[in-house]
Amino acid sequence: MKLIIQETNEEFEAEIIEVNDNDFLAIKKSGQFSFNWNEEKQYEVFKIVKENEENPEIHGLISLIDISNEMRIHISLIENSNDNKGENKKVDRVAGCLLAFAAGLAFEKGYEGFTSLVPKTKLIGLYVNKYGFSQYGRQLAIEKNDAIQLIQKYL
Amino acid sequence: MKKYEKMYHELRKKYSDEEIVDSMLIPADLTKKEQAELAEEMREIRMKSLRETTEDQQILSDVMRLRFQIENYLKKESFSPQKTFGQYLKEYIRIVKKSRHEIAEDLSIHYTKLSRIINDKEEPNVELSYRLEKHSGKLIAAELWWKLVIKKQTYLISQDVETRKVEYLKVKNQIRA
Repeated sequence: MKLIIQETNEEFEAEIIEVNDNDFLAIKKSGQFSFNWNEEKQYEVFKIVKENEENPEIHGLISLIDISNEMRIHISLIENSNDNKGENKKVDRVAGCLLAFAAGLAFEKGYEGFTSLVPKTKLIGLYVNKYGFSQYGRQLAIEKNDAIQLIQKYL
Repeated sequence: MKKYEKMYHELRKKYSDEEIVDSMLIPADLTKKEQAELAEEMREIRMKSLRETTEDQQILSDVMRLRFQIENYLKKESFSPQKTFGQYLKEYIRIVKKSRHEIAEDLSIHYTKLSRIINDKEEPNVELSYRLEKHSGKLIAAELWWKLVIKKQTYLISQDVETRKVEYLKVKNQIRA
């Protein structure tokens, strides 16, 4: 998957790796994240970083819940680092890659890409328009062809 | 004010809603009761979706699953004789529910050659990788198919002591390293 340095439009290869205990300490120390990611330790937490780099900077995080009896992946949280938020962000496509990764995992597990989330109600329309999620009341989900489109765009 | 609502208001001082969506998922603040209600609602949505999956959608999903299996194998595992181009091609043919004759026809390749590739008796050429990319609706890229060949060849070279010895004998004036 490719991330883009916004200032130069230069692309670089990125990878998504499971977060370990040392990462959780580094995440807290960095001051780059608003959510309390230690609370997500109970789930599967992944980081997106530059590929093949020693001690790479964490550009974003995602925490996932595998609800295997319903064959779906639920996204608990996503967050770009502060450097990658807003109009002056350093790196683009971070959240899209993390969402597509979740959908990819849902295909890998044979869940037809079914991925759900419950965002703040006011923002639902924006997630629908930007990433192709479908709305079911207060919840959002993506699956099948829409999930494939998301993956083809970002991964 | 609730936890995520408070965070949202703080973020809105710096970012627009679009910028927030572009960089994070702010979850809804839910009571235990609401969580349980939404979980039940989503369970029903999911079960309905599973019941309504068409055969074509199932094929696409399985092709995607195969793509991620190949990616993971290439990235995380060492060479396995059970995970060759031929073996993944065999699985691809099973997923798309076609006979070997039909796939040979679809890919403009002789049936015997296809069978030899599937049985690891013959190595595929790069052209077949392009054809498989097209056949899979570009869900499995040619590069991914071809990397399976490279992975096998790399392993075989690393293990081939005999050919190495024979070829060494043909070399003169080697540089001193």
